[in-house]
Amino acid sequence: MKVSGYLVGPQPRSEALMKAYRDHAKGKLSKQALEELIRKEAEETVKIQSENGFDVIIDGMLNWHDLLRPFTERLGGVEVGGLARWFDNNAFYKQPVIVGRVERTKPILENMLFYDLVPEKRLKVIIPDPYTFSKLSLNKSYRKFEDLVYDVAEAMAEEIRTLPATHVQLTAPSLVYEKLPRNEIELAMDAVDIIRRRYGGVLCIHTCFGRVGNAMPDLLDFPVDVVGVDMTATPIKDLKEYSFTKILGMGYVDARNTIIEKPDEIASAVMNVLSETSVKQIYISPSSGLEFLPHTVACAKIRSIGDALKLLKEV
Amino acid sequence: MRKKLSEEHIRASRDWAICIGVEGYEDLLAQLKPGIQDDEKLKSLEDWAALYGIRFHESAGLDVVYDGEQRRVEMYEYPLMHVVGFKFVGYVKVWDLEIFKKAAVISKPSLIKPYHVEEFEFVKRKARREIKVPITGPYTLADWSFDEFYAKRKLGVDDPVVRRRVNKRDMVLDLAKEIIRPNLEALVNAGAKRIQIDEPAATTKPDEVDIFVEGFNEAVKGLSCAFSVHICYSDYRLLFPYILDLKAEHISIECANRDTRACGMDEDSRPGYSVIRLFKEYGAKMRVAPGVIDVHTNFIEPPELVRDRLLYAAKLLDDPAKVIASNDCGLRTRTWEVAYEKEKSLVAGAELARKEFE
Repeated sequence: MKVSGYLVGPQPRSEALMKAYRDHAKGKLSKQALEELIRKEAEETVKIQSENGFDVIIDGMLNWHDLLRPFTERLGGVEVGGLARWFDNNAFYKQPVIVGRVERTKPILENMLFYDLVPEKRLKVIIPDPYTFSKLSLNKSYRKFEDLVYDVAEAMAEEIRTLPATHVQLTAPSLVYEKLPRNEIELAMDAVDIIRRRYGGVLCIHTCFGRVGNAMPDLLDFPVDVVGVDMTATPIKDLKEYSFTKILGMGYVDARNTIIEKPDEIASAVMNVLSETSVKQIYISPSSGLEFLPHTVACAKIRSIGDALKLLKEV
Repeated sequence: MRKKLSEEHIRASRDWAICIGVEGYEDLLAQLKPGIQDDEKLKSLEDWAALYGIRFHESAGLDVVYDGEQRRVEMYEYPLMHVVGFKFVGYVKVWDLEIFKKAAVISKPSLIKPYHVEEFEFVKRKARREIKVPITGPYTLADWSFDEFYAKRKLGVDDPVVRRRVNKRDMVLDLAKEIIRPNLEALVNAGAKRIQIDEPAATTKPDEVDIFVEGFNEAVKGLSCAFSVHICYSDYRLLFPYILDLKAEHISIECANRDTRACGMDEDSRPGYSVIRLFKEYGAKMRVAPGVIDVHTNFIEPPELVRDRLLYAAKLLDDPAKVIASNDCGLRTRTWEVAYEKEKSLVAGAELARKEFE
């Protein structure tokens, strides 16, 4: 058995950083001062993951206003649109509006990531999967949706190729939020394959905000190394019936509620999955990015995962 | 309220008072002299703010008014300040830099005391038009809160989605019975004839729309009052068919935000209103108040645009009597100048639309 932990999405900003962002918008705080605070908080985010035994580390994505935004703002053929609801959350993102051929005309994540803060060979970069990005966009240009998905995948593959990340996670809520027809799942899979062919590191797909259900065998066919499942929406029986050839990203810790899962409860859930399914290797994670929680609660949940990892090492 | 006021602020208070007809404003100006405000003056200043809010809407020409919710912090935090069973746990992001102070339910909610009656009594004394009281609904209070109480119960249900739904339903119904209904009863007993229940979260979780309807109906059950519901920035298709069971006299929805600014009554000019077709198709009995004023831009909708939006809505519903002219949502993000021009356009556009049916 091999069990580790990782995060699967943006870390919430502390109240001090929220205030700094607002002060900057009002002209009360300089850009440099804001950036220093972001960097300091990114350092703390990296530190708490390291201290809690996470093998793979993210920088916290504290400067991303939403998961799609760097791509929405910087991809050619895409403009920033109005607010749209982020799945079933009281949270919103700015909708990408597709106004022309989507292409990577310049670096997307340059100056967005704090690579230098993360210990060597442990950096995970998180971006949306091409299908989810396309599905959440307002398409005013492409006649065929699949052509949009493929172009988004090409652009993302090109970007990922330039990143010093040992792990790349494609966050894919659209694969489980609603039951997709077969051809849409295949389209999403083909798009991931475009990335797979250009990226040699560990590729993860993380589903959230929905039950995996019947999509489980299809997800296991995706050309990725890790399949992440939102266990706050998925009963364990959805994992039992299939031969699990991938690493499981076990999104057990509820990223949308403030009850702090106890370490022994997390450890017990992991042992349960290992004994009742064919899963051999697990990354314990929150169900989605912890961005829906107050910062202090998010940190407490990370520590709980860390304590669970310690308990599991003793087993 | 301890902030020092400048001469400019005081001048604006005087100019607006003259513009919208606030009686006795000289007394307010005397209170606003530059300097430190003390706590004793706070109540009086809140009354003045409410009076300005009432006259603002009346002088713009609205038929139904309130005080612009001048006394409330905002629509989530303010009610929960009057409820036992919640604790505020911190700020969370809604989008970009927008945040709100979020609470968790930690025990069965109970009401300290009805929290809108005093402000309603004031509006009733001062208003010269019909009054509509807005109040945040039970589903939205539940959906915007964390759950540290219901979720801790042992239900013996394996499926996490089913478990969460059961917990959510119980929380919504408790809020409806223990918090919202006593508030509504108190308002009705105080003489409220129209109450708008705000439920912006109604469609957030597609599989819980029926719970929103059940909570609303539980809260208003047996009360004699014209209840309406306001739902904004939502996927309205998700309301059907559940909305047909809602015990509301009308529904207020946001449409201008998703519409074009071109005049006209064709489908291409009016994409923001296409959802109204569903109310006709499903045979909904309630009236519809489509937002004809976008509250998130400074663009002042010309009365002719407001007219065409209303006429198009009337065409889709096949009955002009079922249409109420309204804003997309509250105007609190606009300046008073912009808000006032928008409200005047709303009134002028509604008048133009009425003339088409004379």
